[in-house]
Amino acid sequence: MNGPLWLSLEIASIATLLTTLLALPLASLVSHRRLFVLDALLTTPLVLPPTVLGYFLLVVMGNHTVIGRAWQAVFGSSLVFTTTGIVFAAVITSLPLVLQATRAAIEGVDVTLVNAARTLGANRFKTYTRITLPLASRGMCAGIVLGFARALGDFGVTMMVGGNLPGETRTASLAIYDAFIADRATEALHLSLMLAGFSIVLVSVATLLGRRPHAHA
Amino acid sequence: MRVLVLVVALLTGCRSEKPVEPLRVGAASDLTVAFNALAKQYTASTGRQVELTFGSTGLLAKQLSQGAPFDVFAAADVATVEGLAAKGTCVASTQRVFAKGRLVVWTAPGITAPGSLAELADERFKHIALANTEHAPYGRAAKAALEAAGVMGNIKSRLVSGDSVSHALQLVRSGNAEAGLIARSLVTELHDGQLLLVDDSLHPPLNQAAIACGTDENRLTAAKQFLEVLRTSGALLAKYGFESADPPQ
Amino acid sequence: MLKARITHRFDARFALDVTLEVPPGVTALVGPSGSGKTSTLQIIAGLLKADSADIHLGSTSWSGLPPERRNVSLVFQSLALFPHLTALQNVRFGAPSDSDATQWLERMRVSHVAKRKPRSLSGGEAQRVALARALARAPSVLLLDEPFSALDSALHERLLHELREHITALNIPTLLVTHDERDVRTLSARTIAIENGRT
Repeated sequence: MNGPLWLSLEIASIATLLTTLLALPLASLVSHRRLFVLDALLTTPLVLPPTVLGYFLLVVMGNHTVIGRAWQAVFGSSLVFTTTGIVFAAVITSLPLVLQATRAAIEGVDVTLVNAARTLGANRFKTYTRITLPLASRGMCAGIVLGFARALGDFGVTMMVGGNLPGETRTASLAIYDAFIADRATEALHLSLMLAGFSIVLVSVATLLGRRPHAHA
Repeated sequence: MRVLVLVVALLTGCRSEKPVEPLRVGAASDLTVAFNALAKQYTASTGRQVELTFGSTGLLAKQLSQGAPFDVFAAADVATVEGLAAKGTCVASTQRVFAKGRLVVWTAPGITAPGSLAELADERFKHIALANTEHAPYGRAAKAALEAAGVMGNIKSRLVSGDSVSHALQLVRSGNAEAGLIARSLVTELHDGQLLLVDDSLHPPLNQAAIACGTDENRLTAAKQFLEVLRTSGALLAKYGFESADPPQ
Repeated sequence: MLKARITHRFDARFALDVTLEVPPGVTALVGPSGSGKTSTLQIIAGLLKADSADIHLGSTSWSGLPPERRNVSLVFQSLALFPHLTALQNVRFGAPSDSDATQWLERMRVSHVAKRKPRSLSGGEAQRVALARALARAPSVLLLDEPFSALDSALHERLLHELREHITALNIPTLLVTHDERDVRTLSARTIAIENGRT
């Protein structure tokens, strides 16, 4: 019974890791005024219904399309009916949350501290890793936790393109839906409670992290 | 607040333009094509519009038992309807088995249909779509047929589930699955795939049952009218791939 | 000797046109606020790109060098201590070795706060840590941007005296931005006046 829950956690974890790695370079990139289109494009999935993304995955990136074949050639796995596809969808939907938080956190770092690091002999890279990132980490973590929660909770895309395969694409939210419809009330309740509990903890952590770090009277 | 008043006024205004409230029908996915035609007939003879909602039998039944306002419920199996009648959600006396659906193998564009269910083991079928094997009648029938044909063991890892039989069909038509176990009633007007009729002795019959639900006298009368149109529409249902139901035992 | 010839146009109303010669020892850059003092320091440090900046330390040209390769320490008015690092880690950030960092904390008489984060330091302690950090990297040039403005006058005076000793010992060109006449007197510094962007 916990199989789907573990799968959901696994998918959300991998997706969050990828999202974070993507968000760091992208946050610097989209700060440039000229790249506002990229910024908008990467933020759009936040307001897009999952069904739209599911539709694109099925019809535009499906197994028989040019893009779908290219993807398979490069990554050796199709996007439809696979964990890879669900992770891909989760990355796209949670990226805006992580990206915006990362960007705000990095832009919120006092430029004087960055300048101080440079005059103390640190190059751009050392300044970024030793000063900018640690100071931005709190704000970033809030976004990362929310991104994780978002990835954990996907239903629409998984439903449309997953194929409901146990151990592969049958995530907790899908299992809850099936259990509910098939009148397996206890299972639906247990899974729902676990997922809800998990989400409450995650959002609490994000809220805590989102508060001002050195706030004191 | 003013905006809210305006919106409410607009909504109620729109509603009052229609002389009669539409009949709300919830029907199993396999009835999609046939019921769209049937609703036109019903409207022509009664002047009442029909709002159709399609979904998997299990999902619609669940929604009904949680208070979804369907006047008529048509399912792809009999047990679900009997369950709703027993719980008192729907009116037991109106329950009727009106047709029998058939399971077919339908292929993606450019894929040759198998000569038998056993041929689904051929490697050209990388993915085989079916409806949810737990709560969708066609999914259950497909699973039973594959097991009876002795091919389940070979293809189990290639099976992908849609929520309903319509969803399974879309997985096939978009080319993501090379074949699917689908309702014949959904493909009678399609030309982009090939068909293999599944021997219906391999699975429990896909008898289609309908029932009137709700308590409002007026709406109940309209629902009964709809069921009557359904009873006399054997020819139309046959055109969409349904057969007459098995006689009650 | 640090020599700088800088021109930079900020906008239609304000432009910088500065020529400086800073020999070893303290030189004060004095002028009213908004006269371009801080910008001059930032351009020398390489933090601000000027329209033209011809900066030489001895025979070495700094033109086009990024700040980290100029071997210049800048003490900011806000001190700019890294809030996530301890006092010792702050000093160690630019210092060539652990012992340099420890020694400078000792010389600035703040060894006892080595393990504390900046936000728990008093104004004077923070000031001393900032100076230790600037000196521990063994700079060839020291730039000070009104570093003692937040301190009460007794403490202010004492720190100036200590600083003068260290600078005399190091014998490096030091440019002190200030608008306080007392600083100039206490450090018995050379003075360059700047007004409206011009020296």
